[in-house]
Amino acid sequence: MDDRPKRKAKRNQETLPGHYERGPVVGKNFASAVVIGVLAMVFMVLSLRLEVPGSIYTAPGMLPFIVSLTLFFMAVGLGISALRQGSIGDNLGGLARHLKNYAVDQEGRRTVMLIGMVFLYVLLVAVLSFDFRIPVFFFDFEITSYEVVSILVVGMILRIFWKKSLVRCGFVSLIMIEALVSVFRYGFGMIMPEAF
Amino acid sequence: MGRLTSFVALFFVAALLLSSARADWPERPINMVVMYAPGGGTDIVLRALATEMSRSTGWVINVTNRTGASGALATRYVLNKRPDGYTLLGASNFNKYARIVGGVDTRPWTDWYFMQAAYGIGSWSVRPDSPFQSFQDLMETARQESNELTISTSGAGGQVHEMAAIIAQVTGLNLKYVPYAGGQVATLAGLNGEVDIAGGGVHEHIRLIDSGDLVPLMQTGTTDIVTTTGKVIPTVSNFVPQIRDRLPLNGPYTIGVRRDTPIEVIWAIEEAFFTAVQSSAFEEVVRQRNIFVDVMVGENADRRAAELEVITATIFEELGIPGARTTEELGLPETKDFDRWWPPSDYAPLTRNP
Amino acid sequence: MSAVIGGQILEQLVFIAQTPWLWMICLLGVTLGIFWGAMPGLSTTMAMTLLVGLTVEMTQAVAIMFMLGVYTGSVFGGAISAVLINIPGTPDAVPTMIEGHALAKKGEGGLALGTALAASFMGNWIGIILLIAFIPAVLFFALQFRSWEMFLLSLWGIAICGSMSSTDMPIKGWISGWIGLLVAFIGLDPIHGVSRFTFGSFALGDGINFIPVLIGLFGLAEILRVLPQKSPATIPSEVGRILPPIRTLLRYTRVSLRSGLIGTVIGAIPGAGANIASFFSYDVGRRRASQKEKAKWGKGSYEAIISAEVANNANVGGSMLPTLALGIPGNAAAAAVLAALELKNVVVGPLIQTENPGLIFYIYISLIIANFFMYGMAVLLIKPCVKLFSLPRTLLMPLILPICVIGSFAVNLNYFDVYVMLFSGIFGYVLHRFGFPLAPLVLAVILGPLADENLRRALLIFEDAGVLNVLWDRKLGTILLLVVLYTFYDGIFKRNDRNSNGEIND
Repeated sequence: MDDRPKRKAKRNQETLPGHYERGPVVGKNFASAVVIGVLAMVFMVLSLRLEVPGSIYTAPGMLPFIVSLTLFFMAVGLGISALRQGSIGDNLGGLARHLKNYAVDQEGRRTVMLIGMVFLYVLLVAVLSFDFRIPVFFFDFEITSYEVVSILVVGMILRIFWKKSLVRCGFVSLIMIEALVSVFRYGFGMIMPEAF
Repeated sequence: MGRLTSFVALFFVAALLLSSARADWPERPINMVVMYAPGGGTDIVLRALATEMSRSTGWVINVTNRTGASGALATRYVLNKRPDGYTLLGASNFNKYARIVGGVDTRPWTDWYFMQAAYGIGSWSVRPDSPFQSFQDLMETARQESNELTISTSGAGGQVHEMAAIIAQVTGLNLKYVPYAGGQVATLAGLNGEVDIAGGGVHEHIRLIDSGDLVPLMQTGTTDIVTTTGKVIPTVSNFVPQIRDRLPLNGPYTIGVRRDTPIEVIWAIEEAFFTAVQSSAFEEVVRQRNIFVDVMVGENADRRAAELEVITATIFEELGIPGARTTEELGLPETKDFDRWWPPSDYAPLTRNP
Repeated sequence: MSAVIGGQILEQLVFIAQTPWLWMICLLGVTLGIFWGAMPGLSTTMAMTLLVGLTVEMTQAVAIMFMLGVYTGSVFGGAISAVLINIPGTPDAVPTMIEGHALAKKGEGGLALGTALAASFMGNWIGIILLIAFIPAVLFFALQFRSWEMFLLSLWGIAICGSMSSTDMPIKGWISGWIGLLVAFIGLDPIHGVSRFTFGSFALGDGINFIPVLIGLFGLAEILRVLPQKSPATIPSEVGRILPPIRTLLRYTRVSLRSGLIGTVIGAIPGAGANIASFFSYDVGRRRASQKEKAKWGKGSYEAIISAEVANNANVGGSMLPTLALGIPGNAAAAAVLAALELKNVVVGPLIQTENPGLIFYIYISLIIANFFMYGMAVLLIKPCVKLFSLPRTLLMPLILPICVIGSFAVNLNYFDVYVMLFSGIFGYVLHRFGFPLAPLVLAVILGPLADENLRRALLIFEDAGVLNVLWDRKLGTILLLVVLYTFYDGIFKRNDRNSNGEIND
């Protein structure tokens, strides 16, 4: 495998899972350390409060306690390293700046909207539950709440992000989802997602 | 957007009108939800049953597996479906664990109509290099050394655990129950020597006994079993005669329909069930695994379901299994009072002529 | 005896050669498997479980051919979406995703997939050969893994978390992994049945399944990350060379053999699946790689792809080993094969050769045929796949959303898993934003229950034995313990040194 001429390492970095921008990272690490530290403490307490039916060796809370204790130390470590790079004030400032950027940034707002739509999607599938069957010649054509909700929501997401005409988005959504659902339903005899 | 919604709405009205024209039951595929994983004893027996049911009737029966929480997840799933017979519960033991340790509030004999197709029996085996090669040796060893013996079970508060606890209670054996995720893994633990005794079902041990990888100690049936290679798996009553009237300690394979399903649908299912259990193909699947066809329906099955739940609740109470509900909490009598208690006042058998 | 066996092999070969129908079935199974595996969030196990129902109407020969075809195909298929859209099709494709997608962005997606394919092909061969030739040896080794050893094996996997972090702080990898462990503890504990961290919720009682977590962390989180971008980058649609030259492949002989062995052995240990095999092999590969190659690790190393892909395909043969020899499935996918065979009234286990003479050879031959078809089919599919996935992300990503929902739901027909997927997706998005790697989290959710259950079972059994006795009696365990301790030591101390030199820094 010949090495292609490498682009700058900085460019590659963006492709990696877990990349981050250098700027506000100080604030981020500090904030994560605080949240994770608190989380670890909560889990430590919860682990200690679990009942111990057998001997201490087989106590259900043993491993969770060890894990949350070490997690707490790691959070402290992360916090200390963040404080080495800047004071608490710097850290909080960095975080605030980052949050502000996120709120102002169009991408940030679009993300929040997308999360809302995914929420809506999952909730709609959960709340709506119907299952119609229409006999067409020799076989039963089936329509469930899942596919109707999927077609509508995916069509909507396509409309917003793919930015093609409503008809085209709806058509793509309809065809793709019906194809998908048919393979599962008629091919594998699978039940479509529903909350019950 | 508006055009799309009105189109969809129109579609549904049309669908509703068309679907209201009812034909004979079933007019669509039936879904059997098995509460254990594919490839295990319950799954194989019930899949074979479903295959034969659809073969004789032409119905489409899809089998799906929904595992977890001692069958309670599968039970809840079926309970949340309409009681129209399109969703069947594939259970073992008349689903007795779901209420005791799984926290589901349905009673098998008042909320369900269970049909028993067959049952499997329990088995204890050891490695060929084990210090004891028979149940007698085991009892000897246990008497001489005060050490606990370890036995693998299919899970805390599961069937293998329960059977072993009953045997330990009668024989005074001092056992330490080591739980595994299922009967196959419990057998493996005996095979690789992690525990002194491999607990499990005869159907899980018998091939390994035939191949010489395991040595049988006993099984919980009423008579000895002779394998195809001529090895004898003795019944536990050979060594402990006082256990005889509690045998066979077995695990029935059952399917359940909700009791509030239209009565003619229940009879249709029962008819298909009868044809299936009598088919030679089903017989063959079951016989090959040393599982025994034993059909039980109606009032007998209801009584059996109640009795099994009472026995299990009583023994789990004595063992102090965490999370297990007591007989009192379940509104059940203890084992010794069962005969006087049955039938309870809120029980009514399903009959063909109401 | 050998003449009898030779006769049986010949008989099976003739039977298969005379039945072109079977070839078609195998090809169909492999193709279906590749597509299934390539769908984000639809795991191999799920495909196999659904197939059990479909095989009821097939004859025994057809059912075996079909299932093994799907099994082989889908294990490779996971690499396709992993490389091309940064969403692993199956859990074991996570390492391939980390390496392959970096290459795809540079326009080397075709070659990365070709390398993955060549590796899968070799992996299958290694698994099959070890399955046929070394059953007793591999089985003996696999049977040494009891609760204590299984605990150490999972602990070793957890120890890898630190080295899976691609940021300059290994501690973030550990933290991510540790959060995964806490998630894994949720539910009824397997030894005493005490509910842990369920807060009285019935749904949580059964624990958090790793598949919805995986779909959320990599599927949904990727959608949330990519879709809102102003102009999401797509991978270049032109495909250059696909298959790497043989000469290059030969350079990786040692890597392949090592990874193949790891994959097969882990496959043969009941309870440990392809995902563990590929993560392990990936990590061992990194440790054994040359300095120059090591620097590429995490940014698109072909050697890394080979390590992971050989291992997860070798796992197929490995997982069939205890299934056929003992009737105890090596993993959930093998359990489905077992179920399908049982429904054909074949009782799988030590007596399979006496009760169904020749069947075992039919299974071996099916695996080999499936391997060839997988190779051929994938070569044909790679180019169209690259083209397909180079469509605008704004079109692709929304269509992946319903698959994520179906995939999570289908694990256990449980809508709760869809909520798990949703929550994991949002959580994963946030973690990613804060610079935490996600792969360790998934690894820990997979390994956490194994580690916990086996540790406590081992302690239950060891209760009356002294520590020294245990260490002396369980030599394999002691060796594993040393390896684990070294891995932790290496992760905590050495890694930091290297970072201060800036070698591994991104």
